[in-house]
Amino acid sequence: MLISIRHRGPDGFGAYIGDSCVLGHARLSIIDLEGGWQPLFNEDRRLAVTFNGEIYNYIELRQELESKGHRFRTRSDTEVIVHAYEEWGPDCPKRFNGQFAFAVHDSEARALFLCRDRLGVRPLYYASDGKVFVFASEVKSLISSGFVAPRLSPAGFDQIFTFWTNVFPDTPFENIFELPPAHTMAVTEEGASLARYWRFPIRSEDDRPAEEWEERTIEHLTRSIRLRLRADVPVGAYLSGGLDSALTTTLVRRVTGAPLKTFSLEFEDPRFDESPYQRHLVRFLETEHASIRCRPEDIVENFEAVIWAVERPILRTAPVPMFMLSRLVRSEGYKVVITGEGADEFFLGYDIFKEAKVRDFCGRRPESKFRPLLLRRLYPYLFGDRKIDRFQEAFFLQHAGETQDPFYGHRIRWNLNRKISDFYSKEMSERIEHGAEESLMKNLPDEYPSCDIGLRTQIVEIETLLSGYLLSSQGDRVAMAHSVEGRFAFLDHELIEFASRMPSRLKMAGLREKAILKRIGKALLPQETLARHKFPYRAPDIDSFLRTSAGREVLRRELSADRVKEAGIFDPLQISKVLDLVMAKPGKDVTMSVNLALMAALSGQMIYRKFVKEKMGRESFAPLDKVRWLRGGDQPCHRKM
Amino acid sequence: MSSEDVRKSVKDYIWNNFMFGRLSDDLKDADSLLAKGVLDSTGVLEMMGYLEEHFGVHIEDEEVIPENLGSIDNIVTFLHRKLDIQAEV
Repeated sequence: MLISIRHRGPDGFGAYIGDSCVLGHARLSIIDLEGGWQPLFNEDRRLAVTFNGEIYNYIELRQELESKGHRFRTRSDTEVIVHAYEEWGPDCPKRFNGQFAFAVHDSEARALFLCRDRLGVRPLYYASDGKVFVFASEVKSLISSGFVAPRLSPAGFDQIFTFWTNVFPDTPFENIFELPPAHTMAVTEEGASLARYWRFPIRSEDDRPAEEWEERTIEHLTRSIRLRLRADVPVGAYLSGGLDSALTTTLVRRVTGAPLKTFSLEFEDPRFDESPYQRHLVRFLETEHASIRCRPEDIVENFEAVIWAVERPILRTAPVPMFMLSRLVRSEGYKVVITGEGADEFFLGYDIFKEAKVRDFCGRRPESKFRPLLLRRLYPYLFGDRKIDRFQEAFFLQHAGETQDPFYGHRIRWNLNRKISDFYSKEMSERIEHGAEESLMKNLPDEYPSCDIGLRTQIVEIETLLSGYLLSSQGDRVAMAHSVEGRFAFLDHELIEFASRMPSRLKMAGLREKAILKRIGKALLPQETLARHKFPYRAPDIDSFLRTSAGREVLRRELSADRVKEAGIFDPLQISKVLDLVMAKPGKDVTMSVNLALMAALSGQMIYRKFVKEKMGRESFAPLDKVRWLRGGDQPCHRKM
Repeated sequence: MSSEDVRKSVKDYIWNNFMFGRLSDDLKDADSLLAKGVLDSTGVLEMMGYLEEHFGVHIEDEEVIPENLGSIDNIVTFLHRKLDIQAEV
């Protein structure tokens, strides 16, 4: 199990073998490089912990716990967890500021306590056959345990082909589950029980002067960055060229005053490239910079490795360049990067928030010829071709008057994604028992139906795309594939709680997204960064495959009728039909629904082949691996270097 | 070309190029191609190319609106109008 997640922690392996439980750990050493070996114990060695992630406020927690009489043996944040659990029990994660997934085993109570951070930055999967309970950071580790037989879950696939991700705790695999963000799980011989310890706050807005909100936003963001710079290794930063990472990088420079290394992605295709903005910021911030240029051929070449890393089908290739970027970071000797992820969700940056507003506005007067013109302001890069502008308008204004729809903001996108189901095999369709939306609704807060459209759209975006896709497929999984840890300054929970009390008009002023961050940026950032239109991060999708000979070869091989039939997800005839059609028109743009269908089929087929069909080999530790086993909570019984 | 021939050609084209994994009776002639997810903006451009080439008509930019190309019925009516007008000229 540990070797299969070597990429997450190549710096050493540890295991604790108790009477009723075995805890393992693959270590990426960042804090207390010498003393942070895991599993770690409390004073009487009754509690053992294995931990993936960071508790940023570990210094303050340690002081508090020491004042209560706890004795520490190391300087690591891991040790804080066992003492905190001893002191506060299952409420301990409420005290943690960080990104974490951990397990505490109580050898006396013969109980296991699992916990995951508030937004799901760090992954945690589990499975049980009723006798044995296994958990791990990745699905491949569970499968390699031999306790879980990999089988595809039609409902899990259907969720991804609707929302781009699963509805917690489901996964693309039957009987393998993901611990939802902000949840704990208590496991005993009697069974397992889930409990939520935090939720994105739905609060009434505080009335304060705008200037006070601005000052306090900077204070919170700076505090968050200070915490996220805690490491015993150098910390770098991602620089996309946009507002969010420009702000975080600027504040990192301010806080440390030390030289900083930044990393960027460039694209050969100018439709996706932001390198002029990146270069401008690099000069402005005077960072040492490294970048990597992504071509369609790179997407094709790295796609299968990315599917192995993300462990679920993907409908966009955007995780692939991020995978390449983390490889660059690692090759430059860095293990930790600060990124701007999260600002769009909590400071209302995404187009979908504005889109919901505009659609509602248009839906109230459907006969108006002027209201739809706002769509052109919202999506200048989609409008402008007079031939299709009216069709674009009609596309976005579908269901515009149906504001009672609980998923109003996401409806047109999900309907588009749902076209993938037209390609399902008969068996797949028949085996989906619960609709994806029905499952999602169960995870939403009780107040959800009474929230306004803007807040509903924000909640769904956080519940689905942020935790399940951006922080996972496009975040942790592709970063950790190269042993790189992303740290997210905008995801500090105190900053999120603060932002939730901020009046919406300060976050979105009319159709001006992230208005307060832009106001803050005026004193910190160059005008070019502030003035540019929001540029969503994208990469060429199925086009990368269709326009390259290697890519066409991959499509022909992976989507051959025999393979599609064997996997049983898609109808081989329909896949062949659409593939023949696009292959016959090389160089022509494909429709959005064909793009989605081929992305779903290609990634879904690869998931089947790599996780179900090809049996995982049993690998051994390498001669130079640092390995430490502990038996029954005693001193190390075996160690080799 | 008879009215039925025009309708059949249009339906065949849509069936062969945009309809996957569904039965033909899933799409009624009056259904919105946009709402049913059959066409998007790229598909509209592609279909325009087909209509111009196959029926020998020229489609002006301002004619590319859902009222003309948004359903099979609308396309057939639009083509009739175009073909009649062109025949008269």
